[in-house]
Amino acid sequence: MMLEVKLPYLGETGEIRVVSVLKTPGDIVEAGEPLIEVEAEKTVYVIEAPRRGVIEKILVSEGQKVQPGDILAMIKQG
Amino acid sequence: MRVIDLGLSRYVEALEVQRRVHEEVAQDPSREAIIVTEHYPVYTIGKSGSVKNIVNLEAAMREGIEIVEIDRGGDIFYHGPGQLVVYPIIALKQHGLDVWGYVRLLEEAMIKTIGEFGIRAGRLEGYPGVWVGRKKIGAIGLRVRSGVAMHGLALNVNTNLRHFDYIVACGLHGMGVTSMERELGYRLDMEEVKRILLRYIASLLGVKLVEAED
Repeated sequence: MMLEVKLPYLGETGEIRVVSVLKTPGDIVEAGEPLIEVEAEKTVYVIEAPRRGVIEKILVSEGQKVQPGDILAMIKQG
Repeated sequence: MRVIDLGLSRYVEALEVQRRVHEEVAQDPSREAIIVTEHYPVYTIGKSGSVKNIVNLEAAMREGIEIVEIDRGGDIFYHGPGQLVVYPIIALKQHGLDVWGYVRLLEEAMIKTIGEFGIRAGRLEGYPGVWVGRKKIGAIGLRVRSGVAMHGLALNVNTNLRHFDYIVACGLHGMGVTSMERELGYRLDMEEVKRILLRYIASLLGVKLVEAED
């Protein structure tokens, strides 16, 4: 099964930008492990793996602007 | 909510306390705490920051100012004695807050606190923090993981502002910094400012504060 990791709503923030991509396709991740860090309003917000799985795709790169609801990564389960 | 007053602390030591408490709160939100401190002189560089914003590295080294790269949002900032630093380690959802709302809450607490001393400060659209004109008096830098916020705010009370001369604070050219002391022309009682700021943070979060035992 494929799991989409989306950027949640952070409030009426200004620009949201990806500051770190911590995983690459093929990496095995545990639930709660940090995948990507975004920054808005002087806040680094950590996107974590919702479940255990293998990173299938990372859809963003450092410096890229993103919006709530955007798919950031895909995780393959099982 | 527990208040952990570290007094004067080295940045990295306080960071360890923050991380320990963050881990606790991520496991059990009833362990929320507010860490209060003043740091020994240090430049901290956030995720969006660059060492290049230390424009006078030689002077910084000569005066023994530490440099630490950290995982909070924002660019470079100075912390030192006379600056009130507050790190609420809180589960945002428990307080009905998102990132935007929490940043506004911290700004509000600082604006109200310094307002009690007769300083008119406010927000600057697009530039989180608290400003007196185009000079920053209160800074914000945060990290949210597992829904739990760490890092927090820094309010210039009696800060040695000369230490800001060696950097481009927040990576912003053409904007300055100020302190309550600079605005009022006298040195403030840190304990009094601390008490008022904590009272506003607690009231905006809707919590009661208790002195921590550890």
